[in-house]
Amino acid sequence: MHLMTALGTQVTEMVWAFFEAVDLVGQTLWQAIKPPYRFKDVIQQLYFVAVGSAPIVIFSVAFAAIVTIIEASFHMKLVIKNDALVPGFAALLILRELGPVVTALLLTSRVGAGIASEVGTMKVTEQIDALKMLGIHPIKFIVVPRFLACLIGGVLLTSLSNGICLFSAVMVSKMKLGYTTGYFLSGMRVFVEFQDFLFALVKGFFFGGIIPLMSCFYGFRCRSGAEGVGRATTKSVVSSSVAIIIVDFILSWVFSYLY
Amino acid sequence: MASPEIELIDVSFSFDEQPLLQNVSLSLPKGEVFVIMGPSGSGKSTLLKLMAGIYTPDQGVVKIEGEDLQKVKEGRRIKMVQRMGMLFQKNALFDSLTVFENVAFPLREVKALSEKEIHQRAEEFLDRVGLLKEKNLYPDEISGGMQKRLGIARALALDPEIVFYDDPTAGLDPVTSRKIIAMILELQKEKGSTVVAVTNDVHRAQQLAHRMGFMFGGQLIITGNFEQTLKCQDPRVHQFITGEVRGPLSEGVYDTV
Repeated sequence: MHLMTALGTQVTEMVWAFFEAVDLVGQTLWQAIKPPYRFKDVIQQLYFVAVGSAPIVIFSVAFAAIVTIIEASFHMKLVIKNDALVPGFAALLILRELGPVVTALLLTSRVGAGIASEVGTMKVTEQIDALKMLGIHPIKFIVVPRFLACLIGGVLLTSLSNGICLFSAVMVSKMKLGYTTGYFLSGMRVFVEFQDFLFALVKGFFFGGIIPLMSCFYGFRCRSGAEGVGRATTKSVVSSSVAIIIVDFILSWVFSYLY
Repeated sequence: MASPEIELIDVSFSFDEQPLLQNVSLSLPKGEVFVIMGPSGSGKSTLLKLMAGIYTPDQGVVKIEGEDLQKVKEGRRIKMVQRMGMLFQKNALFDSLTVFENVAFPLREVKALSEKEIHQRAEEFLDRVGLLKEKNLYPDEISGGMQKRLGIARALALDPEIVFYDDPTAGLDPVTSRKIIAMILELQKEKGSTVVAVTNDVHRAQQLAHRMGFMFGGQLIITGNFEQTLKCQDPRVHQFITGEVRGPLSEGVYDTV
């Protein structure tokens, strides 16, 4: 009986949380289109999201691309004694998966964690109540600028990371595998189509939207104290990462019908 | 007859299925200084936040100048809320903004003022609370008493007609506490605003209140002036005023201490 009650409470909480999340998404979209617009705040957040994250994204995705090429080549040679298809296939994998997903996961840990802890701290120190007392809508003031900045930043950083990944892949193919730049690009043309570039940007856009919404959701639900802020941050990073992987699967599935 | 500035009718409120307030009714005329006292966890801050429109009651009505805060349209509600100011228990200062920016923030967000006017008004308020020299510091670089004064300056920046003070002397030494209370009274007299304050300090309540109320277990047990409260026969109020260790407020607590 005790177990059933606990289970019931857990399910009720999950259903309640789901409706709260839907409400947050709805209110964010509504407040984003409703004037007045806080362009200055969006630019400030965009600087934090895109410019601030660029170095770590460049550094990380370059290594991820290099590892992908080296591993693919090693195993292709081992199994079928030929790695001629590696440049083209790796380019496709980089564009459609590696670039957008690694970028999003890096943004989750850097930007998402920052947003969740910031909003959580604002909640427990009553700063959100102080905003309400001034007649300022907390979602318009806190969520919307971060949401818009992450949407734009997601697209920009995905483009950047794809560029860096491809450049790194070309370099490592040339130096380690012995393929010329021309060979890499012609291999890429066999596998990669224009839609793949677009799909990558669409993924970047969606992932960019997930991060601030998840982070703000957990920030607003933060319980008091340092432990509460820590838990909210952890939950936001874990949930955003899982959500990104699930949305990646859904989008890849949808894109497979659009070829 | 003019409607009261603040009116609560049969208000109840719960959080996480825990009832925090039960059937609270209260009426405050314009210009009154009302102090809410009571032990920790009795619902004082919750009551304050309900009056300020931060929380929505589960049951009952909160009226400001005769208008139901929950029933008015969003635009009107914002206007009503902007006529109120609040000093929060934890000050709720924006820690990423300087002392000056904390006071300028409400002016910038709410009032259509030029940057010059914002500067002028914010500096006036900071001068008033004795923080002009600290205007470029951040909230965590100033003392607790200064943070309270900054919180007061921010709460008053929009010239509110109703001001809520949630434990304005918490954590302050007696001298600073007296100064803060004197400042609150001075500003209240000057503006003629309605003040609702929460405190656990009986001496500060006496210094501040025109009228006071005592809360226990989410209910407003009595209201009256300080003398009436002193004479109250309720053992919970008596224990709170005298500060005795044994009594109904310590039930279940005293034995475990």
